[in-house]
Amino acid sequence: MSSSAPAIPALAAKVPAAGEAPRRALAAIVRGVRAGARAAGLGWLLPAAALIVWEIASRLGWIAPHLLPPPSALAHTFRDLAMSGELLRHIAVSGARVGSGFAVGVALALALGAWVARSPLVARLLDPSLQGLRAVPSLAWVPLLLLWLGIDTAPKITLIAIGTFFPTYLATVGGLTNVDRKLLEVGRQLGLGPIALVTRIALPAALPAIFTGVRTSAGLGWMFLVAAELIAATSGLGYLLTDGRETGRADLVLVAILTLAVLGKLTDSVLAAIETRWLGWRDIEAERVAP
Amino acid sequence: MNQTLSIDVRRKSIAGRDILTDVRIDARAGEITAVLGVSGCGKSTLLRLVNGLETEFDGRIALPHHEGAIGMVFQEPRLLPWLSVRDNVAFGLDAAGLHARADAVLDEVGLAHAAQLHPKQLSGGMAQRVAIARALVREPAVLLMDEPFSALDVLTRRKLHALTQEITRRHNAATLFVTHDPDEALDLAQRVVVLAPRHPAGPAGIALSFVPTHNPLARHQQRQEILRALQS
Repeated sequence: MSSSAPAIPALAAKVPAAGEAPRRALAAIVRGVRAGARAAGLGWLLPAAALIVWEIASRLGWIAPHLLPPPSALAHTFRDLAMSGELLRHIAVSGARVGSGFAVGVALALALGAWVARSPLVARLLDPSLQGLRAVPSLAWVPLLLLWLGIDTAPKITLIAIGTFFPTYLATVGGLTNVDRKLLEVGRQLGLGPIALVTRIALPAALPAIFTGVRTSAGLGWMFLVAAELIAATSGLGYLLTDGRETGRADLVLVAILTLAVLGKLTDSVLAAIETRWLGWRDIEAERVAP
Repeated sequence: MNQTLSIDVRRKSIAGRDILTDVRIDARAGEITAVLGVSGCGKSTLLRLVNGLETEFDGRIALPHHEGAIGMVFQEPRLLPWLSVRDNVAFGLDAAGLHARADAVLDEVGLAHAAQLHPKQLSGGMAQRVAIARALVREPAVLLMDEPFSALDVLTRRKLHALTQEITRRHNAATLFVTHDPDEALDLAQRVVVLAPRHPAGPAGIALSFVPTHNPLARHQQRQEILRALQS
């Protein structure tokens, strides 16, 4: 796509005419995939070498296969789980739990964070309590949640919501309170009302900070999912972990771990891509792509 | 119709301390009035009073033409980095046909070609031109400029001086230009006002007010007078 402006592709990609948005998006994606492939090429080197050594060590009997099955055995297990549809079911169940817990936690965090940041009164009223709740390790809520909400889906989503709330809340409060006073003054001078000041100046200015919080929240979402599913579940990737341990199948445990790794990375990549897309205006070194 | 921005600040104090006393300035439409003063003497406070960012003071400020039409150019461009140049100029105005007007003023400040750029792609001089365009897009009767070119190099500053004079004339604006540089004030303005404390650590007032001359010798004298007034 960048062939239409070969002399200054970077500029063309960043500065589109109104109708060029889809083209710019496509060019950005192409560039991103290319850069990703280059970076990933190097990043795969170490895991690939480890896999080969692991396989050989396992075949030669240096490590006990029932404790650490070789990659080929894992591939088998993975294929069986995938073919039977069982893996997809677990992923779907876990994904739905993380998704809803994350959505609730982050939405609450954004709303309360914005409120606390913009109103000194609300900040004095609410922030100390929230900071106090934050001091409680989120897993400590588990027994209470089980008592109150049973062992069904509700306590899991609640736990994930609690866990994902705080990083986004802190980032939102921090981002909004650190907005440059000078930019807000421009808005006031131009006659913007208090709500327009927030939506049109403070929020966009705080977006980079908020995004960092949301990405941290997403990572914690998967962590609390596993915690919740390890305790009580009949499906989901956490259940797969428990199942593997109870039936003595290390291959199941490892497949679940790898799946979690891929899903976690995928979530973050999606958020990172949105971040790059929305926050292209930041005056930062373009080559410093967040890993 | 009153063609003058009449400033009459009898007393302005912040946190119990007097900042300005007896500041009377009549800035005529189509002219640049330079306000000179050392750092921290209350120049910026004066501008904040005129543009309504501060409202508590003794005295009266009368705007020419219609109320509310005040353009402000700050020391830094203060552009919103997530908006294009054109959207920065049109920011805060919600009427239709706005982009056409934004384009017209961008053309006026010589940046028609840069409408699509984002602030991070601009040089300091370009960014300050955008800030001027943002002030002009509302057709201001009063244009306030708070040391707008102090961070720019000499050549860029000269070009922007010419631009400021041109737009002041063309838009018939009463331009109040705050600076700490006597030469800039003498080069630019049709009237120069020096703001200085009458006694050490006291509030600032008008120490000097005159029409700059182009006669080199007389001008040298005016420059000396400004420096004396600033030091007192």
